[in-house]
Amino acid sequence: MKKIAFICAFALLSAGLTVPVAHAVDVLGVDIHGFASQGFLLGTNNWPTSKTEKGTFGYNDFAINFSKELGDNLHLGIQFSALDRGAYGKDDVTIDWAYADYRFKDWFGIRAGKVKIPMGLYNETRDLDSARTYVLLPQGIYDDANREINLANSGVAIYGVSPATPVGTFSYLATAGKYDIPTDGGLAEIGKTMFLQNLSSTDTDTAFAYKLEYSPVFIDGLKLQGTGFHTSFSAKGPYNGTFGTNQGLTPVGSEIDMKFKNLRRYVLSAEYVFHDLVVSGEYMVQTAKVDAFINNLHPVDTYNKLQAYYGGATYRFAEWFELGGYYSIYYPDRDHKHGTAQTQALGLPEYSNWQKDAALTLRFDPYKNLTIKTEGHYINGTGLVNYNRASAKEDSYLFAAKVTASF
Amino acid sequence: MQEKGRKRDGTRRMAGVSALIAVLLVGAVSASFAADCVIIANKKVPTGALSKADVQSMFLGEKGKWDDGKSVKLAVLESGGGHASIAGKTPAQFENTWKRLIFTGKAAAPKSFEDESSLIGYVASTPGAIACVSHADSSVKVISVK
Repeated sequence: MKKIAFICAFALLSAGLTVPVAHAVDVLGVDIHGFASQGFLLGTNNWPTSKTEKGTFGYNDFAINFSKELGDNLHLGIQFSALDRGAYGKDDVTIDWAYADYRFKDWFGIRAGKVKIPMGLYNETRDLDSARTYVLLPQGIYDDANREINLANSGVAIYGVSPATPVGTFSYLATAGKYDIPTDGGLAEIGKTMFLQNLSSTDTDTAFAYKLEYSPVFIDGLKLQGTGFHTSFSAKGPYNGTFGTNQGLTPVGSEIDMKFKNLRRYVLSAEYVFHDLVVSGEYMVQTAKVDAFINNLHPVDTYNKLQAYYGGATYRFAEWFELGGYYSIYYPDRDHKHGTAQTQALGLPEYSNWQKDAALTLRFDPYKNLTIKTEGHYINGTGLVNYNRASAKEDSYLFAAKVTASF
Repeated sequence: MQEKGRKRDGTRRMAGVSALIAVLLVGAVSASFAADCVIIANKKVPTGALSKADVQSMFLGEKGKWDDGKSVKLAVLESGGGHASIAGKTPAQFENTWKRLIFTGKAAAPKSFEDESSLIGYVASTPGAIACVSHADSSVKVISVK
């Protein structure tokens, strides 16, 4: 109730400003911007980390940032954020990004601090509801449960934009740094729904991420992008007995150590803008070597091979109304799209090996600073469902709504 | 004869309505991307002409520096103005582009003003400033688009 009251107050305040986001609140030369989003999910299968069968308001985002330009080259900024995703987040305030940005030339600049990781069209702004049409991004690529792996790096980044060339313009961004996987976040929740009592510890290697973007001069409005992400990480926790105790080798409480080595994720993206019409599509593959150790024994040696893609379009009919939709497909194992003997032995149905999602969104902008969205999903398959996987229904529906106020 | 006449009237009416709809649609599309404004900049900027690509890039926060290394300071009108169409975007797309920059820390928001006289005054007094206005005066430099 307090959360809803806060959102309403924030919305009224922002609506009263009736100025574009371009207008910051300026305090002593420091620009201040912020947003507050409150969502509602209701679905016939449970969402990855939210129990949506009875409806949940556990889906929100808050952020406030402070920034200042010092001279022609240096820019400082920090953004605090808080989110709730049902089973994790709980509106704990964290630093979303914070860095110093020194721009030597348009084609070369350096950022040092905590920098958002580029991946696809939306990862850097995945929590910025008002800058896109959809409530829920295609989950195969922008999985809310696995977001902690590729949110932000604490390290350095280089970036730049080329001058206009005869074939178009290019821009790049490359980051290297460390990131944290919390033991009470989305990954921990996935682990608990599968075979862990909890996540006791995590360890991450340096992550490298890069983006190359190309806007061809011969097709106005077209943007092509390629992003890559490399890292390794491990997660440990006590076994919860879900899959039996295997003749005493895996008693409840045994330490399971999951190592994801040489994780490689690549996303190819295309976006075409023609007046009020925006058409976009993305394709993602991810590969990682997975070694699982149980009480220091090594019974599992496998690969994680994800594949996902989607196509979507949006059209703004009026200043206050936009319509959009997408169709996305996700395979947790692209080499076995109908399952394996192992998944069958675990009692998982064939349709747990994919998730196909058709979404339709209505976006309303009654004021410049206020956005209201409603969205419906028809989902076939349970590849991304974590709660009650064995009994989740093949076909499900999800309704999502979100209100965002920003300044 | 009368029936034929009625049919001709109906056909003419349909044609007239169709033509009107077509004109309105074309007009609406054209109007949303018409360069209705004059590009102005502070008198100290090192050039009097920019390519269309450079203008768009500046208005979208991609090109952040003039050739002399000074930073680009974009200024816009709070209520409409031609800055979105200059950038090759609809107003909503222009807003979203800047939101993505601001909420990832990549750029400071453009300065916004309620009226053109305040906007022009800011451009005249701020090195590196650039904007799009309906009428320029002698306090600022007019930038031609090549």
